[in-house]
Amino acid sequence: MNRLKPLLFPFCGFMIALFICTLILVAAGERYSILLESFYNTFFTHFGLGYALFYSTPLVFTGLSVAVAARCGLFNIGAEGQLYIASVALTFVATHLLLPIPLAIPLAIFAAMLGGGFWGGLAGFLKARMGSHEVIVTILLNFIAYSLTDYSILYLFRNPEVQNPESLEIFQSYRLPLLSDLSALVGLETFSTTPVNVTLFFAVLCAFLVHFFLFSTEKGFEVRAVGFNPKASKFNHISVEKNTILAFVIAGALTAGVAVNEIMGHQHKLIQGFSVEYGFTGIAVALLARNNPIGILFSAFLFGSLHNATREMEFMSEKVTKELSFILQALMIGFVASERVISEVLSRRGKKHV
Amino acid sequence: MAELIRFENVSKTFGEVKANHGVSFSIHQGSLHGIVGENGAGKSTIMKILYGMYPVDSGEIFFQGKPVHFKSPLDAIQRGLGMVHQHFMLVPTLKVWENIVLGSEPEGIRLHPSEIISELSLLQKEFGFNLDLEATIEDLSVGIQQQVEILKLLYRKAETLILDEPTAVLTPQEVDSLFAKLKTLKQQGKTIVLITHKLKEILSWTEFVTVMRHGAVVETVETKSLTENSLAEKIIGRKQKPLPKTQTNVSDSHPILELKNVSYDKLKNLSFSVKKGEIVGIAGIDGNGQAELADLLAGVGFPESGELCYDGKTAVAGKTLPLAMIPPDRHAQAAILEFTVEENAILGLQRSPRFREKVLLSKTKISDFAKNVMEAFDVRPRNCKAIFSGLSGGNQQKLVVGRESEKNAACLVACHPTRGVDIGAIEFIHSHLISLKNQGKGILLISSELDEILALSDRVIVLYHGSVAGEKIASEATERELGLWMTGATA
Amino acid sequence: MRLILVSFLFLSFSLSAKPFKVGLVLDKGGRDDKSFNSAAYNGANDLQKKLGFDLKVVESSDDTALEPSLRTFAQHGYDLVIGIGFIMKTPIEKVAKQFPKTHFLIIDSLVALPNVRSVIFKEQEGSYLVGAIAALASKTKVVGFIGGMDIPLIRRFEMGYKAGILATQPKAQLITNYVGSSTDAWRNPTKGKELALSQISKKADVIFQAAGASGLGVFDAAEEKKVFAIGVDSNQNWVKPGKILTSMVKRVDLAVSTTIEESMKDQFKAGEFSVGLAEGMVDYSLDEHNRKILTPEIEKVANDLKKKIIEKKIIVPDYYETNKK
Repeated sequence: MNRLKPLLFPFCGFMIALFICTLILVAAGERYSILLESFYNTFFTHFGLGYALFYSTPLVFTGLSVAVAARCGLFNIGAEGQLYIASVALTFVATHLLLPIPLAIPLAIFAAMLGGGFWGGLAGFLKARMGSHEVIVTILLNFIAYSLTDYSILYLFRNPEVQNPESLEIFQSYRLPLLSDLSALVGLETFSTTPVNVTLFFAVLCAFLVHFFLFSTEKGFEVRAVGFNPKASKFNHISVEKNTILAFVIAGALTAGVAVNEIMGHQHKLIQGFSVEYGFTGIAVALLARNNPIGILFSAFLFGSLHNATREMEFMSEKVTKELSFILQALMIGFVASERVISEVLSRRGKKHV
Repeated sequence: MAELIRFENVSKTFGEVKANHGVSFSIHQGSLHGIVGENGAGKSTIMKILYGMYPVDSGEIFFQGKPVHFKSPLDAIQRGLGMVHQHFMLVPTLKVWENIVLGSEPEGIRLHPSEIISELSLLQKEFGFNLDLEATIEDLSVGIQQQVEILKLLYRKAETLILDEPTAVLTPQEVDSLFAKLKTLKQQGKTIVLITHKLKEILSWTEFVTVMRHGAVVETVETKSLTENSLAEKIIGRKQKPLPKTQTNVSDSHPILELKNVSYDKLKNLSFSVKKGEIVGIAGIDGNGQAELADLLAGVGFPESGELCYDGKTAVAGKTLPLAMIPPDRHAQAAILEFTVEENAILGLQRSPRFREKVLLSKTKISDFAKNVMEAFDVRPRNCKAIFSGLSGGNQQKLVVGRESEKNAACLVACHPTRGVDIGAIEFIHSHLISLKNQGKGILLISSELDEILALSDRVIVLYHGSVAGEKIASEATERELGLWMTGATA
Repeated sequence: MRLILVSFLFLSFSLSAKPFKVGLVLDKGGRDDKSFNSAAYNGANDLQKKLGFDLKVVESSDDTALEPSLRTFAQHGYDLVIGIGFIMKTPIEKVAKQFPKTHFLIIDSLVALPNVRSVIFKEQEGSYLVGAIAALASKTKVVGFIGGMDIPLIRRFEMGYKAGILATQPKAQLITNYVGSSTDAWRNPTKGKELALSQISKKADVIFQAAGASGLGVFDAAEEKKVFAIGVDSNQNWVKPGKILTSMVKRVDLAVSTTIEESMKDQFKAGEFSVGLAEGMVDYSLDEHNRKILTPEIEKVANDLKKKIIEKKIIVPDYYETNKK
């Protein structure tokens, strides 16, 4: 029971949000059950769950990226740019080198990590050596990354066959199987036609790896030490500069997962503007999980399933516009995030009764 | 003398910590009343409750015979109470007179500086102050700033002054003048409450003293009836341990740490050396280069000119010296408050292979190590998974001392090793320093507590404006003489 | 908890008699973009009022939501799913393969699948006409073209436009600019205005914009500097009456409504449908808002050219064809 306690208050918040959102929907003239239906569709149908997991996957990576930087006391607003550079690196490899699967997949993932890590490291370097504030640096690097990505798509590996600016398709050997394909192999029909793919497993793996890095390695120890108290770190011979760069390199490399999910798992090509601000949503994901890597798995899933549930709602209703669905999402997240308020109210209540 | 304030069974709990329980005592009108106890004994808390900063959990406070509940300091001020906090509450960029009227500005939209200043001048005359009202706070010494705080209370018509550890940052001379001032105020009918952990101040200045231990009152007595030893026993609840004997085998050993004409930031042409088996005390008022010296030795900074030698070798930029250090600021430099106790136990040692299991850090090895340190250095509670910030100052410091001792370096730089630490921990740390010296280690002791320096050191060096103002064999030095050097008089 | 959920479901899904279901997916522009999306939405909505089928319209909050939206329609058993714009090409390709029994309609792009109808407008023909009109209305004999995103589709507009200009005024000069090369180029009116102002400073006095919402900036510039602009896709003459010389209209509404109608009557035909002036699917617009500025002389020339194109006496150059070689 005690282990579940951290989940109790967010769950209470979720239930309250559900209630308030239902009130809003009823006020808008919608049937009272629509919210529950959309959540039912999200959690208990192959189609909904598949999409919810697919939306969650990139958020795990960007959430981890933000969290690693935050553990080092850094605010990484650059995950968005980092994931684009990772995508460019990945696409470059996957459209140019025709390799067999056992070589192709690790190489492409490595290239993406290198790209993202380089972009993150650049921010880290500027912060550590030049003293520029990482928030400004990462925001500006985002703009450069967008432009470099546009350039790459338009001039390096553009697919001339289509109007939309997108890259050539990556070679067959770089493509990752969908979970529905995998389950079909053993005769199961899961996740119907949804694009959720094996990158989901990488995401879970990464969360645990990051957890081990932070809490079971000396480098992680130093990163956290710098994050909490750079001055004390210096006095104990832990380099603030090196760890700032390291944290940013890791943060950037983690965003490679977004590129892998999108390009190797789903689209099989790099489409301009494919990231719907995954990098920025990652900030909220990490905040909600309080930068706990395992918690990020849950908070990313919350964001992913909310995204899907509100989308489902738009299909079920005439009155739920995309603006209203944004409001509902915001309310849900707001209430889950205000667990502290809820826990305080509850504990104060408890005290009065004693 | 009439009773002014009476506490009856006052209790206060923060989370799981009982800061005060069943506190009862009274303070007489027009007296100089001391409240003494170790760090964390609840002295400040009980006064902050009186001052309206915390609500009481249970119990009653009587003021002039009537029960009172001050909801905020403003309430307390209106009833003639005033408190000078340990950390001054002045705006450094404002002028003296502005700080004094801040929060109790005369009514009306416009301030009339000239009227206020003339009013304040009268006040100064009345109570024997002599402050430059137009000076800016940040340009003033701490002693003067403290006077501003007191004058501010008098301006607010305070009849009862509460001073929380007022001498922590003062030189011996400043301490004397502060108490002379307090004495005058008392003669003019003010009641003064002095919170301190320094026995001497209690014994030489107060009329009554309330001794507190672990959140409760041990006794309230007339000071006349006490001696230093009997007071110390009441405070720690047992007899004081004598310091271990020191061996003096210094003369023939060569210096482990040597500074030759080092300049760095505030330090100017600083030269001194520490030999093996010797404790060198660096005395001086805070802000005269002690922090910079610590930075330099910790490797955070590097000499701009001059030479820094360790074990006969000149230090190289970018390479840290293999010395152990108790940094000056426990919270900002020595430890990471958010980390657990065991994580702090290996801070700085985390790269050592002894904590590793293959490539990963081994939780069990770290815990075992931390438990050993906690056992050897009596860190309580013995919970190595506790968050460091939850430990009392003394226990935090003992863990830091333990960790640094585990480095087994030939030289230990101890900066303010007993600042904000209880008597039990002070005893422990002092005897540990002496035992290290007896093992033949060189120790540089930087401290603003002259008592400590005189008790432990073989040699004393006084730092003033980044240079050596004077140096003396500790046994031949007097507090008076060192005090003069500390204010700039040269040897 | 789960029980409650399930019982809610039964309550809500109890009434369904299986009417014809049409799903329409709009892009980020939404149903009120006064252009492409609006045209599609109105086409479907008006027909729905007449024939009474189930119509569900979904606006995508972002580009990645297109595919899930299309797929959700197909998954929920919609009979006809409509995607507007070339951005739908990839998503429709994917989804149509997975749901071979569902009918799909895509506008402006070719998806060669047996259950997809692709409607491609001959934008070059309409552009040719407005090019001719622009050249005739211009006093400086300098005319401008501002494209949104630099892609073949918009190059096609430009090429037809240029041919129309040269057909009537061989010595006229054409200045061409594109807002950008990413999808943001469709929603940058500020840049659209800047480009228009710079063209005007180079003496251009008629500017044709094919730039989505960025084109609104072009209209602003034209109004400010008292020159003419030409609208695109929908009839935009009313946006700045008296300042918009004409609009090159694409009848997306017709394409949508006819496809729905045929599909309802089980006459859905897949394949590529290339439609132009002859089918009445592209045209220039003439209404009370531009009647005063589009002189009868110019109108006569335009109508002559239109007739010749329909009779195939004039073959307007097609960017797609010329660039294939």
